[in-house]
Amino acid sequence: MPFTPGRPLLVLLVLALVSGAAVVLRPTPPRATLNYWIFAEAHRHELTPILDGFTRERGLTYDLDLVTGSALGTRLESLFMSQARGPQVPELVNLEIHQVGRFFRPPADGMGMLDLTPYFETRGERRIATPADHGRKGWAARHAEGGIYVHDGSAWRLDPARTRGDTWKDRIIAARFTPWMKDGRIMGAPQDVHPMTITYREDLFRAAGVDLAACRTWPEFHRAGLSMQEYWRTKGVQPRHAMELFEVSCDLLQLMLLQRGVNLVEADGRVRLADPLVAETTAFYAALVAGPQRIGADAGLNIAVELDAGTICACFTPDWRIFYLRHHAPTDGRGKRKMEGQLRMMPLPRFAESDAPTSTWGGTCVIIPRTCPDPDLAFAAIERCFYSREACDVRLAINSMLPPVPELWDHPLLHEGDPLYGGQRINELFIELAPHLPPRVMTPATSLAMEALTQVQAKAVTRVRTMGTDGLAEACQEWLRAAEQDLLRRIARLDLISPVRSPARVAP
Amino acid sequence: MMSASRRCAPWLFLAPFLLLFAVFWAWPLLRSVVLSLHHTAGPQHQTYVGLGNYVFLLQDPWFWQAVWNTTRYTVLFVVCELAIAVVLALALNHPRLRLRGVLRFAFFSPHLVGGVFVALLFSLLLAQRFGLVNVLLDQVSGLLHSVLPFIPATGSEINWGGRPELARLAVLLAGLWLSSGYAMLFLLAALQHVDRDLYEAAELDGAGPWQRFRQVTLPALMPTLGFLALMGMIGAFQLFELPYVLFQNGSGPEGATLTIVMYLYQQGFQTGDLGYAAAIGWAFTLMVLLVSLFQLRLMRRGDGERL
Repeated sequence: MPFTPGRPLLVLLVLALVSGAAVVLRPTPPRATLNYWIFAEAHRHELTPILDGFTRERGLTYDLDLVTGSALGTRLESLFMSQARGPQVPELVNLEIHQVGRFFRPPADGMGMLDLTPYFETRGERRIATPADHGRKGWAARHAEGGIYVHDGSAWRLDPARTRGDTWKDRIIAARFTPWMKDGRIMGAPQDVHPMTITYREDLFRAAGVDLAACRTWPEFHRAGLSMQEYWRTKGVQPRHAMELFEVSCDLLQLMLLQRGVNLVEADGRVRLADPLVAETTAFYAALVAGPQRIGADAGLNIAVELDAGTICACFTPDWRIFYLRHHAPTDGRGKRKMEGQLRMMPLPRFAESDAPTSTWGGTCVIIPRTCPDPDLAFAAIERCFYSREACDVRLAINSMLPPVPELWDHPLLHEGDPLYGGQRINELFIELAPHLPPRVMTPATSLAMEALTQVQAKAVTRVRTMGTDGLAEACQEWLRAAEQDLLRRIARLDLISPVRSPARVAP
Repeated sequence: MMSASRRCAPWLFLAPFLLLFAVFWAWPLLRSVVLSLHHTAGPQHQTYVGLGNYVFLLQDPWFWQAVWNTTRYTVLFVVCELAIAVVLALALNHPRLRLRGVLRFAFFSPHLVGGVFVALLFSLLLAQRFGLVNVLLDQVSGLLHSVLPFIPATGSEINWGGRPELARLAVLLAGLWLSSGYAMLFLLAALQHVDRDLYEAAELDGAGPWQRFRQVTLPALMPTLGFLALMGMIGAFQLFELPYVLFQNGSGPEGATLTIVMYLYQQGFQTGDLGYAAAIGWAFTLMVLLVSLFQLRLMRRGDGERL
């Protein structure tokens, strides 16, 4: 039987041509002037009113493209790998702190994001019209006539040696640049500060005769938690845990390490997994979450519900978590939060006097891809969205998170009492703690180090459960030493950063 | 002599497939082989390392832990899945069962919603203090403890993500809930094709229910079971989304739920080591291929013996 292409092929071809033509001829919506990739719906709520104003003033258009979670990281990775140029490249991308390390693998000049150091060193210069203008000690500003003045605490004084007033690099809190830096270059613009405090159910601790806010050290805090639990146990109230602490994830252990000035991998490449401070802190943490001296538990559903039910009575609260607590706190049916007035906030206890009274959890930066069509416009948008007073008005009304520019901390909304906290001015505590923020460093090896610490923490918890705390610190030290060896092997293989072993130091 | 149009026609028919195959399959496969022979750090920094990534893989304890976890999960999953599916299929095949269609859909439906949804659901079910499973365990064990004091009360504090053995169990339970209904559907179809005469003949020969199952039903299901075992094995080897969603860091306590695909993901998309991730991918492909070939060989041998 002769075989010819015949009717089926013709139909297929016609269909292909028609659908192909439809795709090609379909009108593409014009590209907005400013394209911004974000990873959370909350970003859209905050940024929309700010960008509305910014683009209206300039006669531009903008597009906020919501790409959630790890999908954004993957999309960005593809963008960088393909070295794409043109309309598909966004001007701005929000990047979460856990995602940033992997983009730091190439040397600074080969990275996919633009080096923002020149912008931070030249833009946002502080200006004064007269030497009588408001200022604070140490500030430098350019006078309207060109001279550079430095404030000595009482007035502005001309300083001929200075060539420029303070720019964004000086005006933004320094510790918030470190997660986004590579080889001393600023690759991402900080959006937040995220100082850490502890929120606790004051009524439940008070009923147990425990003044939690009086605890200055972690061991004191541990004892206070145990007393509180014991009191409620004798009353027959169970389960009632003193504190939310993660049993598996090492996020909170890592916050304690930051307090003690330890980044698992430092910016200069030092790997500090086997640092005795890490072993000591891991052993202490494991005893908090397992064994007879346990005071911590993972939040089962969400921490606001647990706090309300009193099953967990305290938790770490960076500023972003307050929004979460407010919105997830159970209400009484008339819209009033049931635990209104029962919460209080306190600084973190310390291990030693030299430790920071706070730490930091989470963080977001905004980057400009290297191939972005208009980086100047993109940086102007950053200034407007995150460092301007207009943006501060909008963002604080929505989430009350501290902006990274301390000059904006005089905003009235940051000095109001919070009804959930019985009128306590919680943002003033954040403001008080923010200058003590320990610098957090993110490197390409940080995620590997975190994974290693997670596994050591899990071993420590199992050991406490089965064998108690005798010899725990030594065992942790041994596990961490092995984990560091493995990490160094991985780092050396890839030449990610120049690896340096932990210094042989003794914990105080 | 063949006309030009006749010679070209098959190629024209094949062209769309070949084009798509070349662009979306062959080329990426080839690129991933090349990638696995390099150290990568962004688009401009690639260093040829030969088999360096593969050599490192052989000495990488995390990779071997992932292999061990995956293998253990696969064996347990396939055995349990087939056992549950057979029981469900037999029950749903019972002539006197009512609402068969509804039940069939109910058991199959978890497969429709997908792994991520099932993992989210299990993370709620297994939540400490508030999760349904813990609450039920608390109440049932409390009741038993009050009657039989030697049975310990579990309380509602079980942290399924906190202990290696519980974390593995949680993933296995979620996996079985997701897949058993799917396997059941195949077995149900196979059961409905078993010749009724064989059962009647067996009954006349005095065979009881267990003997009828062993001598008639099971041999009839063997080809389907073999196929399901192969599919189940390949699916289980690809385990990723269940532990990834159930346990936020994915690896679980002491790396108990670190699977090969999870490790590949961590290396490629969290650490950004694409070359090493490609090497893991190829090692994984080789493993699945070898196990599948072994299994196919076993199945063929089984077929030969039955014939």
